[in-house]
Amino acid sequence: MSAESTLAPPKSSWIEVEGGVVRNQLLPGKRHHYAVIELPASFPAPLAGQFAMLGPSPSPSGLLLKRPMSVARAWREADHLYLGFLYTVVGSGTQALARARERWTVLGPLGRGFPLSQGPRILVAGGRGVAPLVLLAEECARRGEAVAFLNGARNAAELIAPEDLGAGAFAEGSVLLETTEDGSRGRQGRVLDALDDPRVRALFAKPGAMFYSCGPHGLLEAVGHAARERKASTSVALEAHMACGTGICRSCVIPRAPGAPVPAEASNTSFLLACLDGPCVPADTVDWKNAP
Amino acid sequence: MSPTPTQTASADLTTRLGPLTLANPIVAASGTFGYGDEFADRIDLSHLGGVVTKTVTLLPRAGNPPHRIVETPAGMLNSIGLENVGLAAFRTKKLPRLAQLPCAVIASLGGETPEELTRLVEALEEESGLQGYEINFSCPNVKAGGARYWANAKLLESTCASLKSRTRRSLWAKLSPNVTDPAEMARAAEAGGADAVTLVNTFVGTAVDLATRSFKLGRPTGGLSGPAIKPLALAQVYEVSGAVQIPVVGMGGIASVDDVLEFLLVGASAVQVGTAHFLTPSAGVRLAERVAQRLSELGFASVHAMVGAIGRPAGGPIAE
Repeated sequence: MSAESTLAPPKSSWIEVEGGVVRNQLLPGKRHHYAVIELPASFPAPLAGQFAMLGPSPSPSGLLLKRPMSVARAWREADHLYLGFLYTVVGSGTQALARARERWTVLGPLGRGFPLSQGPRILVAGGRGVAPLVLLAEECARRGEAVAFLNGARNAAELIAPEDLGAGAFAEGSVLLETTEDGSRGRQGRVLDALDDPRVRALFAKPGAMFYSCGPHGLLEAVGHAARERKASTSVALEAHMACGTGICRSCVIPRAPGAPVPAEASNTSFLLACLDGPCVPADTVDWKNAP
Repeated sequence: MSPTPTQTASADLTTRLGPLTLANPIVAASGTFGYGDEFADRIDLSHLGGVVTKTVTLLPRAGNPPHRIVETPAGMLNSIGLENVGLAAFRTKKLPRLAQLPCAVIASLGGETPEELTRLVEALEEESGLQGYEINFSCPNVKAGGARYWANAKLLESTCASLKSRTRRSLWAKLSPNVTDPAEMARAAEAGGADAVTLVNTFVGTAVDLATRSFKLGRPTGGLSGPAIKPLALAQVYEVSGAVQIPVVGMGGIASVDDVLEFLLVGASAVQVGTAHFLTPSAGVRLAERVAQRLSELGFASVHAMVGAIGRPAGGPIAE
């Protein structure tokens, strides 16, 4: 991945292209699919946390909208950019994608990615929310910077490890902890239970610790609480129903936290737009009680 | 006279809507193309006949709570609730950029009363960069000033008359399909002096989540759009275009160039492309690029010749 993450990610600059499906299958023993799409080199390399709108090509009759997915992996090889997407078949859109074995249409990269902190980075994944954190961990590894990677899921079939997606080794000094609620893999419990690991606790003694998280909104809210207790900052990747991904349809609204600062350029003072203001936002900017 | 298909793409695409002549009949629909300038740096908007802005109201509106969309078979329901930046920000932040666009710009205006619409038109008459107004008499997703309020022929007529007296720009009335007699509403708009009627806005619909025993949208109902409504829309455009003398701007589920021509054939003088823009922002431009070729293939020398030509051979009068 050649893109530089920066402290203030620029607004996305997308293109729409067709790409060849290199692989697209259920991960062995898992409940999630993984697809790799080959795109022309002109496709801008995504920042960790950015997403794309994906549709089968040609679009089957009856299916209307593309589906948003975080980029899980990105690499350049020869004259192509390859993007990896982790997804679960939950409805007609993802089912059509699972059946599309030759070409997908890809519109992206979209949204604001994770801003890179200078201090320790604690990555917290819930289920398939691991996807953008794999790309972030790879970006950190490329820079030779260690991370704490807390990877939790309901059970072993739901838990996707970075190596399941072919991701390389983390930088030296990194900590990888796995949890499942039923104990079928890793430590039994919830992913934030792993914060009591002494190697993770030690990170909060250093200045500038930052949580990065993606998963169910309940987890993102809990990450916000955990960060406040530890005086750490956060960037969490929102999920929302979305028609266009480009800020036009105004569908993917998430209520802003009461009293949270609203940037002057915000297009709506009551709602965050997941596609333009996010998907990666500080957890304390969201009104989680009224979030979908 | 039999059709004489030609392979040239020299058909005359212009179409007149009162005082406004569009370079071609393809217009981006309100609420599906932002304020109009968002894609201008990556899509050549000179291919479009025009764009209709997101509906602008006097004050900013935050819009409805999520969820705001759900996909349904061949369509989607939305409940956006007229989220927009409001008149003041529209004037200062959006209009200067819209004035630079290489196609006609129509401001969509929404109001809860005739007086609010009057104030919007009076304010925008002080600005350059607009070629027309499309009055949104048909939003299904707001409590006040929505489709139910405006489904009143007398109110529609007097409001159109009041607005028409304040502008020389093209005035379009966007009508709801959720009425017993759409032709009656169109005749009222015509009697009030509207230069065109736009239809259809979305059909009221809903979707239910059995598992949670709740509506899938944040409000109980939304508006249905997309290819699922095309047959309903075609029928309403056909009925209304036979009931009024002013042009009809037809829309509802247009996704292909043939969809465009079907709307022209049943009586639309121009069409709007809406939901298709969510699938791909270049949808309208792609259709516009193909209209001339397809008209020629079908034996029509102009858009004008095709408008309302259903049941007639290409280029000729109604066969006896």
